[in-house]
Amino acid sequence: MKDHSLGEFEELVLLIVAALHDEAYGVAILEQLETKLNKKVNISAIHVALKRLENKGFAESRFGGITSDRGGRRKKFYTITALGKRVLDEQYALRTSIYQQIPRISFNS
Amino acid sequence: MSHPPKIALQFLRWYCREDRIDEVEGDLVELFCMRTHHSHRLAQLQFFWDVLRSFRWVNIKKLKINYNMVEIINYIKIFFRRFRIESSHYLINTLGMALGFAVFLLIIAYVSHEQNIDHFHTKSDRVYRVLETRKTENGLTKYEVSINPLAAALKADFPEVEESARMVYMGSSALKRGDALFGNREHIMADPAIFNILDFEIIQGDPKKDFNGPIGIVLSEYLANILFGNENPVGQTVEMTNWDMNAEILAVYKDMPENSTYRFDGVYVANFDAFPPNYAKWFNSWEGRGSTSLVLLKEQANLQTINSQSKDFLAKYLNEEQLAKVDFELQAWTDLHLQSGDVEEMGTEPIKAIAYGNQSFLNTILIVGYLVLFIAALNYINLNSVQALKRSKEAGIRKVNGATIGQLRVQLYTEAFLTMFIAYGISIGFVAVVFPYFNLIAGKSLSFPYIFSDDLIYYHLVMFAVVWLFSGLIPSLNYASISRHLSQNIKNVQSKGGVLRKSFVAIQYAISLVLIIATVVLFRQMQFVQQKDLGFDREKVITLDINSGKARSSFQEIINALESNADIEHVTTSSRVPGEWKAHINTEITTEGGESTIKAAHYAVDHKWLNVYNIELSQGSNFSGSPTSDTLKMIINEKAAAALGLADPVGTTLSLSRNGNNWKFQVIGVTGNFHFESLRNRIEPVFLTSWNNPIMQIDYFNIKYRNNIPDVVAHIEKVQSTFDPKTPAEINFLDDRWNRYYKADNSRSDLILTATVVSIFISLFGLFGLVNFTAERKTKEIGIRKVLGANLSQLFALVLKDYLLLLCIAFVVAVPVSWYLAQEWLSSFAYRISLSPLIFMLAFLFVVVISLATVVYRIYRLAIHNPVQSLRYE
Repeated sequence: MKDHSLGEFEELVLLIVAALHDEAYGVAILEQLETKLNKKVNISAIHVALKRLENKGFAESRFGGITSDRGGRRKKFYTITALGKRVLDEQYALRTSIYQQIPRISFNS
Repeated sequence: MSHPPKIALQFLRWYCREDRIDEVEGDLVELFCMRTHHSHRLAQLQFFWDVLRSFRWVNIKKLKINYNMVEIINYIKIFFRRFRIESSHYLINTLGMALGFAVFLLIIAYVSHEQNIDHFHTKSDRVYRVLETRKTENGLTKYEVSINPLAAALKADFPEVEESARMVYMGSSALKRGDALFGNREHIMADPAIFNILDFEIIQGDPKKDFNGPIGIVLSEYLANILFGNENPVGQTVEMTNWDMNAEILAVYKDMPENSTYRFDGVYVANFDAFPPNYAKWFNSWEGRGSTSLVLLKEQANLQTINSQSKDFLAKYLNEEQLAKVDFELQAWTDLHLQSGDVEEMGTEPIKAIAYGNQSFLNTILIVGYLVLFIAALNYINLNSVQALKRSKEAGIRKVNGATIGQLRVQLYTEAFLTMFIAYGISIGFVAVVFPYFNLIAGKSLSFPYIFSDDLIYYHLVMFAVVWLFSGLIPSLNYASISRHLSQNIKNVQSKGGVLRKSFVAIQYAISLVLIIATVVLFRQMQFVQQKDLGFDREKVITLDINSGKARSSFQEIINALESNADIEHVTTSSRVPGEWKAHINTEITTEGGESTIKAAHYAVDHKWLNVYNIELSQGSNFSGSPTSDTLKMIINEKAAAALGLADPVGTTLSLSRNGNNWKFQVIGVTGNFHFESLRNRIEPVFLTSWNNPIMQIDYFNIKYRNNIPDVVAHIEKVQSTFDPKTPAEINFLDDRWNRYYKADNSRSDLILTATVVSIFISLFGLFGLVNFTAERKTKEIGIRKVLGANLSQLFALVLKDYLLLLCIAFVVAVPVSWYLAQEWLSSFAYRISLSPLIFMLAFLFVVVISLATVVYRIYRLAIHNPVQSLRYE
């Protein structure tokens, strides 16, 4: 069975891939991520994360058409797989359940 | 639309995998296009950064592997496996090599820097310096300083000369502007044409422009900063305090580079004809000598034409008598640093920032460098050939599997390459670490990247390639011959390679011994020179230059003021001091009857001078201290008395002649001999006269202090500024001055010492490796002998006797070579140590002891081993 672990940065990237739906490729993800996180991210880090997500089967990719502003290179679009969605759901559920266990008292102190 | 930087893009395409390139390049270019709207420059930088960041394992192309590469990869793998198993052997090998490389790299950096001094001038291949040659009893003597109008006449008379100029040393010179006062000796006065000949990097102004009065000043950036701060100096005036006049600043040049013999703080552009008449006359006189003349030849001009016509040319200007003695020759500007060893100095040469070098030392140190490298290569060969014996099994298996001899050799060359490569890496790191110390020892201020400069990197490659091929050669022949007969008795092979190996060890040790003996001789001589009784006391003496007429005329008041400080014992005045950089003025002395005439150095002193230097009178008395009675009295040294043939000189009258004038002096005392110059020179005849003699004026105060140096120096500066506010105090410690004579020698002997120490280390590495190997091979033998009753010393003898014999052979070879070399070097000193056999024995003992010390433990461990274990070994 494939490794289902998901790093923090990978999770963010996967979330954005899912959020961008059919329009997720390197630069778009970078822009989204930078606005959401409000800090600089290097594109190569995203490339690595995407590659890992693909290897783990959480995302799949296809090539788009050639555009001029990319120096004649095709875009590589990513979409989230069913497995990827499930992992995100699990993560979300896990976090929510733990979050709800936080006793109220800890907010007042 | 702007494009991303091409190099970065090419690099990306070169390394990036085919299936990733669309995504990576596409995204990077798109980002670039977005960013370039804000700032093109920034976008480019970011693109570079992104390309670098994308250089990751996932993106990099996989190597296409073919059969040859599999082979090589296998060799590399085996190499590192062996490295792990036999790490001590491989480490010794690599470190020895690395040390050899490091020493060699530093030495070539040193040599190349020395050779490139003064080469930076754009016309340096056409610039020449005129050396005046004069016939003396000792043959031809060359002088840097030549006839004053020579430069101009050369240009006028020879069509080959494109430009000429002269530089005149000005002694101490001070410039003053407002409160800023700066004085030193690193100035020259020169014709404006000097800026057409030598390279000065002008920052502001025009050095060749016209100016009023005799002098216009061109400042270095350094001095301009001191005097003007951030203001623009061009067009302003400064006061020349020694001359009591103002001069205009014409231009500012960038400080001259550190590889220049001359590094002037200022050039005083002179219009010599506008000088006061008596100066102007001297500058145009063919009798006057105070100029360093430079000429720039036209391209394709023939140097020989000028040299061969020199006599005809001079005949136009000189009288018969002079013409017979005087001639000149042109010395290439690029030879200035290394080919000026035989050029005499008169004390009126411009101050050099770099003392003249010595071509023969460069040759020596280069040879030392080659030797060290050679020792390291021999080490590699030796250690490798013993390894080859162990590896005969591997060779056999490879052979059985179909390897050709060629392939086996390729394997050895691959391994040699890897060793060298690692060693080279280590050596670069090593050089980086020791570089500051290297600069210190060599007296240079190079930066580390210099060793990778264009000239040197080529030598790195050659060094690497030669050592690699050489080191690989013998083991590969050896190895291949082993593998030729798989069933061959190993013992056979061992004895065959053994002779070669042993002779290598002997050669290594012979080289090390020669270097050690040379070093010992070098140091003993330097020590001797620095501790020899000089005939005078040079401790705790400060000299203060008299640089103005004002100080000279009120010298008695200055002496009184200086002596008022409790830390100052005596102050006296004199014309010259020991360790002098001005010329010693030689005057002819004749005995009363005219029987004999000698040339002797003249010192004008006062009555306390002998006390300051603690020079004893052997006969007669000192000056009385009363000016009127001392005027025509003199004291001579024993050498002068002997040269004049006077048994009882006190009371005799001697006549002095100078520039056609004659004076009669009465001898009142005789002093012991004393050295006033480097011990390379013999003690010369000297005579002392009172300060108010008619020939020579005073130039120095000699200050004997007790202690508390900062106070004393402050006091001297205060006194100077009271009596002569416009001249900065020029203070020197006598022992510093004296050590100047030996500074170059010390630096050179330190360089050789360092190289020698490293060579010993490398040889020790080699010996340790070999003994280690012998010990391993003889484990069983020692076990058996021990069982049969051999004791510890017998076991030691068993392993070591071969090596001791080799050391002895090396010694026999090394002695005559080093004796010859040491004798050659010592002959340049007038006073020197004698070469005792003790030095040789000491060097030999030293090598034997440290060699044994390295291996004793290894053998001891083996010898006390339980024989049961050593017999079970394997």
